[in-house]
Amino acid sequence: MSAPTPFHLATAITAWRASLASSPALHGDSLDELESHLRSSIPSLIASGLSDEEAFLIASRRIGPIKAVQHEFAKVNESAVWASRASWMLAGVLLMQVLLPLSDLAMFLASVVAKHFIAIRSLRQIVPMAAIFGLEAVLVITAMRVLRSRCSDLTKLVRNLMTRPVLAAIGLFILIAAAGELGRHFYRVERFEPASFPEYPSIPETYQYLRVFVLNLVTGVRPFHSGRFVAAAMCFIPQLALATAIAILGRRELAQSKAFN
Amino acid sequence: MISKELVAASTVPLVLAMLGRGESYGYELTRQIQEMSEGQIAWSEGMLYPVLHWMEQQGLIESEWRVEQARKRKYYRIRADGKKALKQQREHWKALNSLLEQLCQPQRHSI
Repeated sequence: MSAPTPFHLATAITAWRASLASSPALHGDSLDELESHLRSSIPSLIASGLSDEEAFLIASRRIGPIKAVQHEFAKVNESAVWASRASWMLAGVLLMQVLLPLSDLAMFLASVVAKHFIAIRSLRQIVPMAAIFGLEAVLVITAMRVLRSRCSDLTKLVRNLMTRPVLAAIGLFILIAAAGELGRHFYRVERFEPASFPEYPSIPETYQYLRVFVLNLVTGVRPFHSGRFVAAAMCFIPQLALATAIAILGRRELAQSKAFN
Repeated sequence: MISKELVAASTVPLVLAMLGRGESYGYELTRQIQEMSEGQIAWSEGMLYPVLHWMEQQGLIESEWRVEQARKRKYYRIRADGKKALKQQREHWKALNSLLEQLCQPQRHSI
């Protein structure tokens, strides 16, 4: 039989504050205020003969269930909630930009494998498609798992990055640029420009054409022909803008939480 | 015990009235209400703060952090708009109250 773990008031308060902080509606100022309230109500409970643990439980219960408190704060602090949502959405768009060239790479590798090892022509066309869908399925399942286990190392990493928004934005930007270059290096997307689009395209060609079309829509510029370097640089402008937007949103949230400290 | 809905509806005028007597902080406000209402109003204390923040956003009250006995406290103070709002709210509550009282009077049957 193991002895019950001793109760530490300071640790309990820190943990309580951390679980409240999981909502973007509660920034540092509100957390300070609620913690101050909790700390104010504990001494009189202890003086009335309760143990530290009992006093903590009653005081935190009086403040209310964490979910309910977060819900009430979200009602009056909508802009903070939306700022947080928007920064996650932008991060999602940026991540897509990393994944698109990577999936191009997967498609390329799969088509090489198919060319060498599969004799039946129609099967050869299916393999790259299957590779893409497989990759996407794996990514979606991984993302769902990460989201479900909220305290995973990855979410901790994201939270830490959010406290250094400029660094995070620069890092993401470099990652995107690197992934984009890698994708382009391995798989020459310019083959599927609208003008050279084959009259009777195969399924992978159609799929690839649509992919390039979306890629062009997202990045705005096609960096393949004249003025290649200028165009390539311009191609990153939307991504840089997104990264900057994330940095600004992150900074604003930081400024809010630091305002009273 | 007064219902949750009624407590929610009356929080703003009650807070305005208390701050009208002098500046105060969240913990003290909840204590005052509980004592003066003799336990009739029991609320989740955490719910007071979003209301205070909303009132601050609306310009009814203003706040300031102070350190007292090694403890950080956020003090709230009523503003001119808050005083105006309090006056208006009192009239509304009086009107409702007198309506309720009138309706509860035994009805005189006129033949």
